[in-house]
Amino acid sequence: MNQHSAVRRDLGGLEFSREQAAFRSTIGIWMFLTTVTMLFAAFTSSYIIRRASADWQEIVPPPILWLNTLVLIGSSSSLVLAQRGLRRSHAVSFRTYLVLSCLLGIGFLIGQIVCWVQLSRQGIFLPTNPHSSFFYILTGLHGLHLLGGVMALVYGTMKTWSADSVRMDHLFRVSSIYWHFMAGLWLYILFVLFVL
Amino acid sequence: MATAHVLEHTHTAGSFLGRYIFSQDHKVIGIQYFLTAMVMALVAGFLAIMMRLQLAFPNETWPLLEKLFPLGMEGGVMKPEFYLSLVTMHGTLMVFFVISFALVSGFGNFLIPLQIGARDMAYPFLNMLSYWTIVPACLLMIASFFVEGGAAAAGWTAYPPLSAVQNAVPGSGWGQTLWLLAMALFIVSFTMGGLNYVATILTHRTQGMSMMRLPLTIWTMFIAAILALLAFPALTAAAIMLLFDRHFGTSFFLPSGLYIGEQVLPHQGGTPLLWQHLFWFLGHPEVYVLLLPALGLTLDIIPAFTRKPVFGYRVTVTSLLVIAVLSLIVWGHHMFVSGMNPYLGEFFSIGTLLITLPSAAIGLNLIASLWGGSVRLTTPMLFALGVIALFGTGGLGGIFLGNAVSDVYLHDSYFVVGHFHFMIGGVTLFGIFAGTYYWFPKMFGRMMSERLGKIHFWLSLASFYGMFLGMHFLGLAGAPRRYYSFTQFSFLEPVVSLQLIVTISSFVFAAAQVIFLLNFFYSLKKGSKADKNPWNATTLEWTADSPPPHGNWNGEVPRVYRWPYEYSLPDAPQDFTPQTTPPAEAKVTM
Ligand code: HEM
Ligand SMILES: [Cu+2]
Repeated sequence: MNQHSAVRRDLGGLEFSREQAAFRSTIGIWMFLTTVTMLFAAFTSSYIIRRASADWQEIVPPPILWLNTLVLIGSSSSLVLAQRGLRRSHAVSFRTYLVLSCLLGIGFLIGQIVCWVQLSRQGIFLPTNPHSSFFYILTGLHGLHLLGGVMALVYGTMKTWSADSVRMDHLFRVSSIYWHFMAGLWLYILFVLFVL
Repeated sequence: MATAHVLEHTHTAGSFLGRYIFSQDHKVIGIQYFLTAMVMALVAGFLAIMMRLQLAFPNETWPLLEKLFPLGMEGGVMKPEFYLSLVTMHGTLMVFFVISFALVSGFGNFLIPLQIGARDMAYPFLNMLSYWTIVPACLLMIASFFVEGGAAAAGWTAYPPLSAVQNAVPGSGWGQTLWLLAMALFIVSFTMGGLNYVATILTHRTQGMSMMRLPLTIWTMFIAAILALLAFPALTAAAIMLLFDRHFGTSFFLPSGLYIGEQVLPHQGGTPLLWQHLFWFLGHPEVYVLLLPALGLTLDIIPAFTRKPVFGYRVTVTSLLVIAVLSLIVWGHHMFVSGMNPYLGEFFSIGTLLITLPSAAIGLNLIASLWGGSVRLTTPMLFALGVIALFGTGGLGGIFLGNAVSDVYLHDSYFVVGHFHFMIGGVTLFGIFAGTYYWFPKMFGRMMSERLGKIHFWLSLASFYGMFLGMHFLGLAGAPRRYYSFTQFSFLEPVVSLQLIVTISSFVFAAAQVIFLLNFFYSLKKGSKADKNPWNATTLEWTADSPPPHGNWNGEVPRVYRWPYEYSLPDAPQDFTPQTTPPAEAKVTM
């Protein structure tokens, strides 16, 4: 009864079952990720078309980029461990890994800014050549999306100490889908920029 | 646990602000969108009238207009670059800020929960946010007329280099920047709306409302929302790159060696065609995002006035899905003359001709839905019939354009303008009117005047054909679109009188819309009271009060036992059997 009323309050007093609410948030996040996918697909095709021009020059990214990549993968893995902790109702490991995941996520963002600074010290700016333009724009957009994810994760982490479990369930599930997706998207961006 | 299903009114939040301004109630949000569309339609319509004035009377001066636009109309004479701003803003506002708002956001928000048996949308807060994101977008668009250089002038398609080089034409400066920002807000808002539609339709249907029992309005909204979510990101990406080209020196769309005002630009290596591809990857699906809901409303309105089921429900649903898929791969038909590889052109031609098949199937289903019915020519029905007429006429023109060979001649002529106004202007607008006359009683609890409605219809239909069929012939005669004056071309002299007919028709059309506005606001106050189900229709919204309370139904949400087109069942007590009628009382056909 208690749980039930919690769900109802959450949704503005309209009646929903728990399953409905869970299904709803899953649909919502996947539809959103679909549009994110289409956004980066559009950039990929632009990249391929633009690369055919004669003025194309590959830039060499600062090595910190690879460190950042490891940090982000670490963050994603740590979230997997947190999820496992949650499944086993192991509060301590859940919270520890969740906090670690947030910290690594923030670390990644800071690392990305360092990467930009280093690149610009080498004299490579946004308009320097088309590859550098794509580099800044794609990493910047990814960073913005990631920032949203970090905020959701931090918010969720703070709530693990207070909010009721039903609400947390959705928030946590949705933000971890998003977070893993962002890690995958990062690898994809690296692939487009430096392998393709 | 029955108490758990009793409605709680927590988000009405009694105050005026919570109830009407920052409301999270889907009905209020739908009506907000609707009224916003009305305001934007007045603005965009006024721009169109100015264009028509210029084209019909190129040598006149208009001192009054100078007061409003001192720069664009200096000395009362329209400047060519101001004409370009008019074209651009008219198109942008009508497509995104009028038709999208009224049809997709307005009717969508109002009808989805009511027709699927839900208390509200899946994310009411997001819904409110989506409305309040477009308010600044509207203001930015309107404000752009009054900034230095005036409003954007690169067409609603914003082709570079006009849109990419800040000093190309006056409107390429501030106006274009505001245009891009407003469009970005629009996309954000539309994305929120789309997520809401899909999630709501998938998860909030009442008991018994299977997908194949959804009214076709809902199907079209569902597919339109998915299409928008898939297509708009291409424009987002393009807009981001364009902003960087404009303000941060990148060269995505700007080629090497471009001269503006005798100065060579520093950009190199970009390609304006990239923009065209990205824009039309959105642009073509977008026209279906607008078209499909108009057809959906029409398909739902017709059965109520023929008293027989809609014809070919399954075929229509399948066709909608096929259209959705195909519409993502035909964008190249807007670029036949861009110098693309002829084989690629052939691919886009074939795709375009393929998409006419499911479109024609829906058109035939519309016509077959009339067959053998006892047709009642109410105003909503007249407008629904108008939709069929305009859809047929516009589609006919589309076939000539879809063929790369004839399009080489017709491209960028008034033929194209005529074609797309039948579709994106006519089908959608007549769909909106049909929907308004039909659902007005549900929205506001009163009926609109039938007599004024019929005058509105006949004047609109006749003048619509006057305008846009006329434009088809102008195009065949070779008149190019977007020119601000045709007095200099001897080959166009034979069709000067046609320009006049188009302009006069446009005045008649505008006057007809005044009748509509009068009817709307008069009926709001003085219309005769509507009961729950004034049209004796079957769908769920007609089981709610007119207007429905917060949460839509007092007491339980209705349960559904049948599909929405149960008219004239042989054994049923009435000639309509609402979706809520249990099988015990009347046979279930679907
Ligand atoms: C029978 C199906 C249709 C076919 C074969 C078709 C074909 C075409 C083609 C080939 C063009 C490009 C013409 C040119 O620029 O040279 C075009 C333009 C256009 N069509 Fe269609 N069309 C069809 C239906 C529709 C529908 C249903 C809509 C909207 C509801 C629509 C809206 C437009 C618009 C807005 C443009 C012009 C955009 C611009 O250049 O500003 N069309 N159509
Ligand atoms: Cu098209």
